[in-house]
Amino acid sequence: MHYELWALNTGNLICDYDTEAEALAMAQNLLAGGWSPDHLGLRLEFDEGDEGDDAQLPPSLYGASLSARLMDAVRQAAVANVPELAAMTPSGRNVDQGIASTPGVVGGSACIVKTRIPVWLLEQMRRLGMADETLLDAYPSLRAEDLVNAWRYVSLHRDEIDREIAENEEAEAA
Amino acid sequence: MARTLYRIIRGSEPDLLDFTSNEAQGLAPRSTNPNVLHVWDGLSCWATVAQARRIIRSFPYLGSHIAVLEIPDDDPVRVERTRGPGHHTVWGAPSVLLTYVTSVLPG
Repeated sequence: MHYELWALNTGNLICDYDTEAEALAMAQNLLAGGWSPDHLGLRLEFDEGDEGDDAQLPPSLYGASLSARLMDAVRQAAVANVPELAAMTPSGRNVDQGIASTPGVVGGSACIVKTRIPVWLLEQMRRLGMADETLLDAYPSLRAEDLVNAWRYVSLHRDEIDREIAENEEAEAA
Repeated sequence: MARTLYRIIRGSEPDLLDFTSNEAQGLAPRSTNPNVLHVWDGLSCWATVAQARRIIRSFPYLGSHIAVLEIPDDDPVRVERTRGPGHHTVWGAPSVLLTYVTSVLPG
């Protein structure tokens, strides 16, 4: 599996990378040099032979969705570089990979790590019939593995998620 | 015997712009990564039409059609297998590459 960065205005591959972070760093570098986000594309290639499996094609990123992912990467880098922000994540609550709750952020609800997207909101939309692909399109900063982590968290903390969904619905109804 | 490769193009009528390298766009690579620099002045092509169509599904913006290129073995155009599944980089003048288009397929 690798990440490919594309020049969409010329139809040429720029480079491929082992990690999304490396690909995003290159994208940021090109944007700083005057490239338009509409001319850059990021996709994940699963390396499954010459034809590949289209069923595994993830949402590709370009234009606004790529810009959102780049912004998220910048924010994550900022958090990583500020120990005070990192220290705000209580180790005792962070029992699931990729999920964190931070006092004062989204009411302390469990969120996708280093985002303000609460797990209960994703679960609420899933219960309303929204598919994973639709969620990933709606939140370009999310990766497929984030949803895997969210659904695992829901299965382990169903009472907490049910309560937060109910509280939100009551607040909206009020 | 010619080598057949597939290049994504913007429409049903290929033109010189469809064979533009990143370097020809006039933008600097802004990288010292040798993998980036190696293909900067080349063109992305695929070994099969299915591989090209898969890329179009990822990036519809990239183009709507696929040009079939028949590149003679003794031609000075350079071809190298690079990067992901079926991806090749072709180095050659756009005007020459355009003459190698034998047909155009829907993307």
